[in-house]
Formats: sequence, structure tokens, C-alpha cells
Amino acid sequence: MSLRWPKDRRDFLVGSGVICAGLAIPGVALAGPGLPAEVLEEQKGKKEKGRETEEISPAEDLMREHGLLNRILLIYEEHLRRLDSKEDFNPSVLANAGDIIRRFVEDYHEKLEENYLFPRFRKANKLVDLAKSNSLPSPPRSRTRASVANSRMR
Amino acid sequence: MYRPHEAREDTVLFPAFRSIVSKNEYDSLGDEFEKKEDELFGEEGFFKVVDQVAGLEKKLGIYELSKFTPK
Repeated sequence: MSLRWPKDRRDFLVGSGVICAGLAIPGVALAGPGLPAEVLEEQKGKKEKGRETEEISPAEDLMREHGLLNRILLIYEEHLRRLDSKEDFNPSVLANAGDIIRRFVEDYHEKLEENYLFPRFRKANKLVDLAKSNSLPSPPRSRTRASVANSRMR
Repeated sequence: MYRPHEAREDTVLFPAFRSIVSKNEYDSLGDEFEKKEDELFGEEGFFKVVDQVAGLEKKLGIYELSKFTPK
């Protein structure tokens, strides 16, 4: 499979959503039989060991999700580094990372903030400007779809 | 795009969140978040996604923290 080099870094980041949406790569789903064997094996090990769960606060919940987002951004950055140095990479890894961004960050985490967090700051009249500036003007996925449409028109 | 927002949320908005809602509301929101996470990603859904990210890091060769630790 060959990939067309994006014109710049921003195209690359947005374009990872294109790869994710445009290719039916096994392993893109967040759960279920499509996961890479390596990941399934690791999950199985965790299940056998048993994972202690404890209640966490909403803030801690959102913060750890930011930690997850940062790890995915590191995956993106490694791809950028490889692009810059003209090294090969496996497109399915990038597609999986883009899928996690879409399903976990955009469709879940950001919606928690939009629906539960920001309205309460507005209601309390506290840090309203900051809450507003962190609100998204339009659904992220719409932006991704628009960028997909634009990239196809080029 | 993401980092400036999340940095400000982690250091300003999230720490202030507890002070603008009652303890009951704060606790029930925690339960609500967990419920939504379970609905979308299954039980312990967060950890499943973390595992998936770790799998991708391994494939890419960036999982081992020693790679990022000064020697």
C-alpha cells in the first residue's frame, strides 16, 4: 500500500482520520475480534490477573483521559518524525490511533466536557471565558469529514 | 490543537470543578461518567483502550520508557 505524503504536518494529523475512515483495516474497532493479537493477548493477561477498580472523581476521570490522549499524540509525533526522515511506517497503526481519537476522544471525552462540565461553569458564572474557549464550535467529526472531502477534491 | 486546551483544563478548569458543584452532584457525575464509559467501551473500558494504545506503541517501538530516559 502506498501513501501520498501530506503537504504539511497539519494535513498529516487531520489526514490520519482519512486513513481511518477510508480503509477497512482489521483491528480498527475499539473492542472485539478485530484487535491485533498482541493487544488481545495483553488484555487476556490483565483479565486473568484481575484489575482492581475503584471509584474515581470526575476530574481524575477526565485527567486520565487526557493522559491517554497524550499517548496517542506521541504516536502521531512518531509518525511525523518518520515522515520527516522518510522512514517507513505501518499505516494500520496510524489508522488505529485515529480511530481511538475519534471514538474515545471526540465521541466520548469531548462530549463529557461539552455536556457535563462546561455548562456547569456557565451556570456558576465561573471561568466562563475559559470554558467557552475550550468548547468546540462544531462537532470535531464534521471537521474531519470536511477535510476528507477536501482531500478527495485535490 | 489538543494540547493547549487539555493543559488549561488539567490545571485550571478541572481543579475548579469541585468547587462549583455540590458534593452529591460531584459524586453522581463520577458515577455517570463511569456508566457512560461502560456503555460505550464495556466494563473497565478505559483500561481496554489504554491496552490498545500500549499495543500500538509497541508496534511502533515507542512503548519502552527507557527509550525516553536520559542515560
